[in-house]
Amino acid sequence: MKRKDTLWKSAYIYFNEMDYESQKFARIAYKVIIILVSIISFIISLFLQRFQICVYSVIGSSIFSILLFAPAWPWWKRKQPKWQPVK
Amino acid sequence: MYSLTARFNQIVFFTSCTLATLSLLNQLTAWYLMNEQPSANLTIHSTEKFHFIKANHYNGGKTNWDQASFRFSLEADLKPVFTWNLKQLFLFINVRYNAPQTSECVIYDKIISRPDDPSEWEKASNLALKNQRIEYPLKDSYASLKNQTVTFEVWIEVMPYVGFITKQRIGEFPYKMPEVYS
Repeated sequence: MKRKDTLWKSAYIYFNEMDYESQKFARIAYKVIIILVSIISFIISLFLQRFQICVYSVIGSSIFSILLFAPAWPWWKRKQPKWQPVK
Repeated sequence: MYSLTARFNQIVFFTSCTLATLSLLNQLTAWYLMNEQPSANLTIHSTEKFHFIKANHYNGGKTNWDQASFRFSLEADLKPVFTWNLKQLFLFINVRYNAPQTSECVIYDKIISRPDDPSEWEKASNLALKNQRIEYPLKDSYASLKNQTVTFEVWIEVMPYVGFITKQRIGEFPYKMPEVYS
């Protein structure tokens, strides 16, 4: 008999499962975002001669991509694979 | 990418790798593109308080030393070293002479930290000290400072945010000590 899950555990299960298509997209997308932000902010902070701009923007972009790609939001769950019917 | 913790772990480690490469690039663009060297100009105005100290209460009267104090002016152009990688500069004046053995003594030091705003670097990097007293008097245990030729060297110790701490000498000025104790 299945025990009723607590709130934290059911929230974890909900945010854990993600589509295969969106996993492939997320694997490439977070790297692209962080590399683009780091290159642009490095060049900008090289002109202004302040390294804080570069570090804070790289950390900010990483927090943004963690919030966007790590939990399985509803828009990452759209393309479910088509399972065969049970025989 | 199959679970929450796996994705979180990958993103965090990737940001730390990019921060490490950016710091390395920071160090390379700051130091290895430097063409000019910093320079300094030191003039000694006078020697004051040139004594022979007889300390009878140390070591049965066998410990005696020479002591000298100076007044100097120092101008230094430190603009080439002021990059975005610099945290602090430690500037000190070293005295070297060839008495019974080669001896060195630090007589003045100063910490110069770099302000964050690049528009304030001009003021902070042009060092101009006028008619200053030294901080630590020049002491010689062998009492051989009379009539001695002595070189004053100005050194800089560079402390960056990312990289090794390096020392470099930016000026060398010879001087002759007076013949009589004053």
